[in-house]
Amino acid sequence: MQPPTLDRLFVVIPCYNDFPTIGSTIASLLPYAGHIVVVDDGSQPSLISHVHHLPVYYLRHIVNLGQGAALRTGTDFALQNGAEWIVHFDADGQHSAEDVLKMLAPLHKNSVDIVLGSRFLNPVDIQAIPLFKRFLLQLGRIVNRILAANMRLSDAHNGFRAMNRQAALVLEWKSPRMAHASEILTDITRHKLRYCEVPTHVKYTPYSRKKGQKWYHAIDIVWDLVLNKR
Amino acid sequence: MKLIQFILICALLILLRLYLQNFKRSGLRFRILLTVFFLVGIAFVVFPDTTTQLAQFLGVGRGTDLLLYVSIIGAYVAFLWLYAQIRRIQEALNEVVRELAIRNPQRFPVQSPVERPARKEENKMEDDGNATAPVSE
Repeated sequence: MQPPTLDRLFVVIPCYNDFPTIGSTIASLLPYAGHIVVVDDGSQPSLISHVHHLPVYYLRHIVNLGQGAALRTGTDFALQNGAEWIVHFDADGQHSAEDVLKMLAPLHKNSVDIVLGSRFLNPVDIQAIPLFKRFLLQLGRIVNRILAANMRLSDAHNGFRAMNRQAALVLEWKSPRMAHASEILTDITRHKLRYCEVPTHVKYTPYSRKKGQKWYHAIDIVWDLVLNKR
Repeated sequence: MKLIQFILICALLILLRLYLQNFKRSGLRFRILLTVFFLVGIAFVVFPDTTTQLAQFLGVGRGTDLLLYVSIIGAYVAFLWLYAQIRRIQEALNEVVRELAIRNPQRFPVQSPVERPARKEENKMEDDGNATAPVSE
């Protein structure tokens, strides 16, 4: 990535009570991100004391709305500030900051509009996923194909994605909670965006497993998808 | 008139008054519909046999059973309507909270820019994006 473009690269990190990891996540991103937008989704207490020493934009939802809404806020803010590339990155430290470059490579070549991270392209990455989670994500793929999008993807619900400005402008996920990942897929099909998957490694730490989604959240996601289906 | 009829008629009249007060801003048609609905209720209280006749016409044994069935359906319609309303309010709240956040960004640090640490393996950009992911511990 050439230095001038770094200025138009925005990494959006939605976070909710992620105080143990937010600092290290941002620190790991600093070499790769132009601007970092931290969206504090109503954490109690506010995460401001964990980020005020870091070069970030800090946006705060005064009440908790959900990850989908936080991503929407961060993405809109980035667009308003002239972002050319937008990366969504999880705050719990499960993604590797180095992967940002891999995610951006296809965008820079202008071969695609949106890049989706996938845990299922690399055998080493697959091994890292807990068994039950693997099963659940396979189910998610099926649900995605039925409800949301007729796309052949290897991963159903990965929080790591990168997109160019055109893609960010047309994507309009409505679910404030977690169904946005599937909704984005629907929008990709609807707007005929060019997409590809890039292998990313997900670190399942005890923290990210505790913080992450439980199996029963899948029910909420399907519910949200059905209600918001247009 | 039995005591229960008196109590029920009073309750219905009070409820009608409260409804009309609270739906002052709704359309006239809705308020007329509401009034008719309550008047029918009062009629059923005054002439209880009419519900039984209606029930038997529809193939239900007793008038009370018919009212039970109708009120269950009515309750579910009301739940659905309330749920839709709550979702609408939630969506409005989302917009307000998001707008507040976007309008009040805080930029850190306020004074000196932080030195950016060097990247790991600068040559990674040569990857075509499909190479294997580095395994980071």
